[in-house]
Amino acid sequence: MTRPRLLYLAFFYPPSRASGVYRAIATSQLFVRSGWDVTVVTVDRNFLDDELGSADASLERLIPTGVQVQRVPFTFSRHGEFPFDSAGLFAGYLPGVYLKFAERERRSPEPTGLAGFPDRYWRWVKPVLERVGRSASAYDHILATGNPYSSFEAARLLAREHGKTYSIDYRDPWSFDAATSAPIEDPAVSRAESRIIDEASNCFHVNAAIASAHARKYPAAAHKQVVAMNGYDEDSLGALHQPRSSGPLRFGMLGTVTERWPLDALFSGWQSALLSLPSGSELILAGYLGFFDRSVSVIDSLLPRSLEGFSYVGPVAKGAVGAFNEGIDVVIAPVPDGEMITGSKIFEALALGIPVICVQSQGGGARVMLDGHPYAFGADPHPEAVAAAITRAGDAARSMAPHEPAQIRSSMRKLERVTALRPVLDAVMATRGVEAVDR
Amino acid sequence: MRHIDAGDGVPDPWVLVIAGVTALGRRQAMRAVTGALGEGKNVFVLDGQVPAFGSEDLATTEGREVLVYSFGARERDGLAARLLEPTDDHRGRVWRMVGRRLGTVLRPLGVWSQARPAIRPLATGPAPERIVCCDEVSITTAWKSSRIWPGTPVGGG
Repeated sequence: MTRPRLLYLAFFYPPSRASGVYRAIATSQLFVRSGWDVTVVTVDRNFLDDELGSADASLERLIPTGVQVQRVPFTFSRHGEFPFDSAGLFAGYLPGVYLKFAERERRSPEPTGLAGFPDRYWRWVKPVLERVGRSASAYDHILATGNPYSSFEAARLLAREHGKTYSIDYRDPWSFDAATSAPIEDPAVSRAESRIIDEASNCFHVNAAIASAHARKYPAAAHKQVVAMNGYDEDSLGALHQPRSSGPLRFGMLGTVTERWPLDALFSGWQSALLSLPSGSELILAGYLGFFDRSVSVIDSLLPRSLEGFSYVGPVAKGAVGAFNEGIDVVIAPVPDGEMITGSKIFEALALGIPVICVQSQGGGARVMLDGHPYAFGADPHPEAVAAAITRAGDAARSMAPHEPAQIRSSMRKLERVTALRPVLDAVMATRGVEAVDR
Repeated sequence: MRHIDAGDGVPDPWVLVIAGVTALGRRQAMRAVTGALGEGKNVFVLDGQVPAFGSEDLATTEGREVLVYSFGARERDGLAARLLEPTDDHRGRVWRMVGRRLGTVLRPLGVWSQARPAIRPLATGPAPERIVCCDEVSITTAWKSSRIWPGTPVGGG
């Protein structure tokens, strides 16, 4: 029997350390494990290194064996396109304006329909179409993950040209503001999204709130909206925690810190809670400061310079995440507000088997996930609420029975990333009308 | 690697690298310098970066020179200073006041105005073997250089 072939368009794939890269890795892994030949089309390394400053070479070890990776160049900068030999005074002195005009000229007769495509990565689509070319006809299904949403358009155009089916996987909503859940009033986005959803076989979303919003916005495609949550990676959990009934407690946060985290509330809450914690207790923050180089100084300025017990230990390599988690008694997951925002770190936090504090307003996407965990404490992003949660979680860490971490970890296995992504495989299989080779 | 105050005496054969002011420019300049040295060429870097290139950034090869004219790190006044201020790190109140769009349009001119004192003295000497433009704001400087040395190939980093 011939192995089915998947073409997976994932702009961010290792060595990228962008948000959502673990979902892309897990998706490719899921299909490989299920007997598919997977080809990933992603961006080239130069863009990650030179323009985003957002690469982590250690992540390349996570690319599943058997996955073929094709790297397609992309750049935001247009200096390589400038006609130095023929440019006149206007172009030479005002190159930005000249390039803008030249780009508009080129885009208008664009035969692929890219003209006005409302995504800043739109220039990646054409090179992808050229790279994949006729080989697209050899694939059984095309799956694209966004953002960038230009991947969706590339999938649509490839599928249309070669008579294939395609699915799209939203890591974030495109036409909704994730923080407020309000629709983004941009006719160009709505038109492009509507066209893409209309022709897609399946649309995957990371939580039910986003899936429902899309079902309401595109009622004719409501049946295509499928929830495929994020999850945790087994190798990030580390050894089982041994509860300690005395001594200082270690509260840990691990993840890429962004300016949208409720850091003020967290640090103020920690300061208030210190009195109720054993002497020497620590709050340890680990992870990159932002997804891109340009964010580092901004986020660094948000971290306290002299907060008792607090330390920032910098990025932790994927292979060392387990060791970090083993050393903490309570895990804190700060998540930006919004029912559409689940984040991905909450899954790992819940699966560790130790008390969890989720700092997000009631009704937030991550807070919903706390149900079923006996030591999960939600805290609104206010200092008093955070302080109360820290105190309660500290007490819980002290009173846990030795067998409980294993029990909790076992009950949270449903959140394992590849398991959580199973609906993607099932829906793609249903589209193809075949069964998986190896379940 | 040697920092210089004026662009004179670049030994032939040489390559002109215009590093620009962005993170992309910085990385592409590093790569361009390494490539030129590998080909046995001397390199003259017009460096608008803040902080300026140090010897830990740019490779050196025995017998070949990397000359760096760092206008980015010099004290500047007025509009030129605002135009050259890095935007990658969200700094600069005046920059935001002038307006990002207008600034984007004028930045290549700002770079040229700062690089010109280093380029002009070289006009009478031997032409560079190539001119490397490392980011969008370096375009005007690369274009003006190509008019000083017609026929010299100009390309992206």
